[in-house]
Amino acid sequence: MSSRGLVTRRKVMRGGLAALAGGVGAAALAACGEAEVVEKTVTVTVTEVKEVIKEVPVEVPVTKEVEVERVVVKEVPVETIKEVPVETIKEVEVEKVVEKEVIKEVFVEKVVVEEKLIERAKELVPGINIFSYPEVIPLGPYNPTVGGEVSYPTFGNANSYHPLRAASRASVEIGNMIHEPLYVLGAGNDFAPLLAAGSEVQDDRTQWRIRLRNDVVFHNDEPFNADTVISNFEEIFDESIVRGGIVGFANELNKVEKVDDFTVDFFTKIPNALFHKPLTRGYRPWPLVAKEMGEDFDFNPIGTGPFKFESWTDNVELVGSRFDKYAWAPWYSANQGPAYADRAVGKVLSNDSTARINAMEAGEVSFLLHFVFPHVQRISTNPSFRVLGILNEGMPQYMPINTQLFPTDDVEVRRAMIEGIDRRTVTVRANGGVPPVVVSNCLTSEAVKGYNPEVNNLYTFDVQKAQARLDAAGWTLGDDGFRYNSDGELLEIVFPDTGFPVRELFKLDVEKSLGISVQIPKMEGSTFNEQMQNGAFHAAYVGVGGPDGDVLWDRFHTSVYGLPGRAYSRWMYTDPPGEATPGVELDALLDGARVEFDESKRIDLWQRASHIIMDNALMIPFVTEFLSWIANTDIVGGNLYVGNFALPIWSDWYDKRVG
Amino acid sequence: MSTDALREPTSATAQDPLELRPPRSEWQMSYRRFWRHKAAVLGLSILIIISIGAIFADVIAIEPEETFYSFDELQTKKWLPPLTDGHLMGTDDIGRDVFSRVVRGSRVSLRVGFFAVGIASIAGTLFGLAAGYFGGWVDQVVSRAIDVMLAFPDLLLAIAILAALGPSLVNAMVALGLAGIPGYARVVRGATLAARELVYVHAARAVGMSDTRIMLRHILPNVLSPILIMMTLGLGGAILAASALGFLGLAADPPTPEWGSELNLSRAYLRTAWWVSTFNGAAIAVTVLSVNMVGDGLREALDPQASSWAR
Repeated sequence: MSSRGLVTRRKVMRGGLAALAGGVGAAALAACGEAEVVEKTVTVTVTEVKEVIKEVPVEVPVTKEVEVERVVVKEVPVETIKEVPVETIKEVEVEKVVEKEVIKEVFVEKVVVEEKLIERAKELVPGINIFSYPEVIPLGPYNPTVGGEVSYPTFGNANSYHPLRAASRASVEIGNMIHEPLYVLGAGNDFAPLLAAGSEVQDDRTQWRIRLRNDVVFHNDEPFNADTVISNFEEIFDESIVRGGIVGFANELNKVEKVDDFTVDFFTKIPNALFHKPLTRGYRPWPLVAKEMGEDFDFNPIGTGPFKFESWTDNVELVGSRFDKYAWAPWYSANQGPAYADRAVGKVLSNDSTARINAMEAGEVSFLLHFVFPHVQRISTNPSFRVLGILNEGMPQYMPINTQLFPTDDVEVRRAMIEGIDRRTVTVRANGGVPPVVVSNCLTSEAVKGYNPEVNNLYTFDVQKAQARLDAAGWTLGDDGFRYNSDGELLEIVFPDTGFPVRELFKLDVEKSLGISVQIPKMEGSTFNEQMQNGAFHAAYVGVGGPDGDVLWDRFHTSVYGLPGRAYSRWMYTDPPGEATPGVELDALLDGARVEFDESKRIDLWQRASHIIMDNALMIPFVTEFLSWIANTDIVGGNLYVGNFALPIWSDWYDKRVG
Repeated sequence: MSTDALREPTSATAQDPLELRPPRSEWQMSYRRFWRHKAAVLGLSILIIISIGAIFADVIAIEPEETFYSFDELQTKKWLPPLTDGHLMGTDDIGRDVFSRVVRGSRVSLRVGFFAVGIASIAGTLFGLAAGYFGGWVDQVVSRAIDVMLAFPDLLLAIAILAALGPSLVNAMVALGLAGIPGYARVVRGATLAARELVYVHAARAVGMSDTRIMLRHILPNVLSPILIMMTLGLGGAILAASALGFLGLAADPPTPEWGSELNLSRAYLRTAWWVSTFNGAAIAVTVLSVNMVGDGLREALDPQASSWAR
C-alpha cells in the first residue's frame, strides 16, 4: 500500500467521523436551542398612503387622455404643449372631476388590502411586527445617549469606497456612513433633498438647476459647493479613468455647468422627469483632494456623512468615527445634528443565514437584515430583539419569458404559465419556508407609482383554465404526462439553475400541473448572464426594485436588450441583437413616461405599459416579499428609516449601553 | 512399500489431520481473516442494509419522489419533527418526508461512489500496468501525467473537471473517477515494476507469451490485493466527495434527493428544523464509516504483513 493510499484512508475516516460528530453536534445544538413558540401581540399599523389616492383612480380616463399626451410629448416641441387645443384641456378637466369620485373607493380598498396583508402576515409569521412600506419605525422610547458604538451588517466584500468606482453592495450599504447623495428617497416614495437644497427644471426640460446646501463641509474641512460637483463630473465623464456604475448616469447627460457657488445646471440628453432618481444613489460627491489621492482614495475615503473614515479591514469591517460638524441629516431624521455614537462599524457578515443569525445573537451587530423567517419564532421570544417585517410591495420577484424561443413564442403557453403555476407555493422555499403574503400580478404593485389595479385582475390562479388554454392552443397531453403539438414537438422550457431555491418547486409544479417539461441546466452567474442575454433560455428567476413604474423601462424597453440583467423577454425585438425596434407601442409609452413631467399622466402611461406587458404575458410575476429586519434593542436605540432604499440613517442611532 | 503406498489413507481415524486437510489458497486465508475482523463484518452488515435500502428505495419510501404539496397542505405538512404523523425523520421546509429523501439519497450516493471508483480503478490499473511493465517513454509519459494530476487535491480536480464538463450527476461521476485515476495508477505501477522482474514473468516472456497476456494473466492477479483495498477505501472517499459536490450544487438535479444537496438546503434551518440536516449528515457519516470499516478489514485480510507493520 502506498503512502498516498494510507493518507487517503485516514482522511476518509476523519471525514466520516467529522461528519458524524457534526450531525450529532447539530442535533444537540438544535435540541438545546429549540424554543417553544410564543404568540406575541402584533401591532398593526395602517398607513394612509397618499400617493395611492392619486395613482390608482386614473384608470377611468386613461385611454382617451394619454393618446393625446403621447402625440404631444413625442412629436411636438415643448412650447406647443401650451398651445394644445382648448377642447383637449376641457376634456382633462372633466375627467379630473371623475377622479375625485373614484378616490374614496380606491383609498378604502387600499386600506382594506393592507389590513388583510398584515393580518395574513401575522398568521403566517407569528411574533413579527409588520409594517407597510415606506415607514419610520421607532426602535423603542427615544432617549438618546452620546458615545459608544453602533453597528450595521452587510454581506459581500467592498470593491472600493470611492463613489466613482463603488459597485458592490457593501460599498454603498455601509459606505453611506461616509458618503451622502444629493437626494434621498423619503416617505411616500418622494425624493427629498439632502446635500441639495432644491431643484427646478427649465423650460426646455433638459436643463435641471440644482441648488446646493451652503453649510456642508467634507471631513477634511474642504467646503462642498458647485466646484465640487463640476470637478466630480469631470472625472465621471473622463473615459480614461476607471469608473463604476455611475457611468450609466453620465451617459444620460450632455454636460454639467456651474451657475454660482452653490448652483449647478445639469443638461440631460432628452427630457427626463425622473432626474432625481440617479441623484439618490448613483452620485455621491467626493472632495477635490480625491484627485490628488488617486487610487489611495478607494480605501481612505473622505465624504460628508455623519462618520469619518477610520479604518477598513478587508472582508471584515469598515469603522468610522463621529464627524462633529455634521448638521445636514435628512429632514425626516429625528437627529439633525452630529451622530450620537462615537463610532460606527459596518460589519461584513457571511452570506450564510445561520451564521448571520448567530452573529446577531452574539451581539456582534445591532441589526440584521434579510434573516430567514423560520428563526422568527425562536428569536421573537428573546425580549432583547425586535423583529420587523416590512411589506416590500415594490419589489416583486418575477420570471421574464423569452417570447422569441419555441414554444414560449406562443402567447397561450405564456398565459397558461401565469394562470397555472401555483406561484405562492413555488416561491415558498425562496422566501425562507414561509409562504409569501402577496402574490403579485405585475412588476408595479401596490405601493409603486404606476400600479394598475386592472392588471392585477387579468390573471387568477386556475389550473383547469390554464390546461384548457393549452388544449385549445393545440398542445395535447401525451402518455408520458407531457404535452406535444400536432407536429409531435414536446412542450418544454429551459430554466437555468443559478442556485436560486425556486427551481425545484417550479419544475415539480409546472410538470405536474401543466404537463410542460422543464429542463434545469446548472450554471454559474456569468455564464447565465451571457446566455440569457443571447436569448438561450425560456425563462429565469430574477428580482427587481424601484419606487416607480420606471422599472418597466429598465426591463422591457427594447433599447436595453442585450445589456446584463435586462429585458430578457425580447418582445418585439429585431435582429441583430442590441438594435431596438423603433416606435413600438411599449417603447413609446415607457419613453413617454420618462419625459412626462405631470405625475398623474406619467402614472397613467406606466399603467398602460403594465397592461401591455401582462396582456402579452411577457413575464410571470410571482410574489412581493418582506424586507426582514431584527434590531437588538438592548444595544441600539433610535429610529429605523426604511424609505431610502432601506439604507441606514446612521446619525439617528445611539448606543444604549452608554450611561 | 512404496512411498506412495505409505501415503495411501487406510482409514479416516488413522490419518494425520494435517496431511488430510487440503492446502488453503491465499484467497481462502484472506476470506477467513476478513470474517474474523469484527469491525469489518459490522461495516459490511451496515453497508448491505444501506444497499438494500438503495435498491428497494421506492418500496421503502413512504411518499413519491416528486411530491408537491399545495399551499394549504403545506401549512400542516412542513417542518414536522421526527416521529410526527408517521414521519420517522420528520419533514422538510416543503413538507416532504425526510426518511423517504434519505433512503432515496442513498441510491444516488452509492451510485456515484461505485461508478467513480469503477472508472478510477479500471483506468488507473491499465495506466499503471502499462507504465510499470513497458517502462521507457510509456512510463515517463504516464508518470509525469500522474505527477501533474497529483499536484491537485482530488476534490479540487473534480470541481475543475466539472467546470469544464458542466455540472450534472453523470459528470460528477466522471469527474470523481478521473480525479481518482492517478492514485490507482501510481500504486499499480509500483507493484508492476516489482512483479515484472519475477522469474515466472521472465519465463512467460521466454515461452513467447504476448505482453498483454503476461500483464493480464500473470501480473494483474499479483497486484489485485492493493487495488481491492484502494477501491474499498476509495469508495468512502468518493461518497464523501460526491456529497461535497452535491453540497456545492454540482451533482444531482432537483428534485432528485442527494445527501449533499439536502444538507446544503437544510443548513439555513439548522437551529429550527435540526432533523433535516442531521439525518442527511448522519447518513453520509454512517455510510462512509461502514465502507471504511470494510476497507480496513479487507486490508488486514489481503495484506496482513503490511497491516501488522502499519500497527
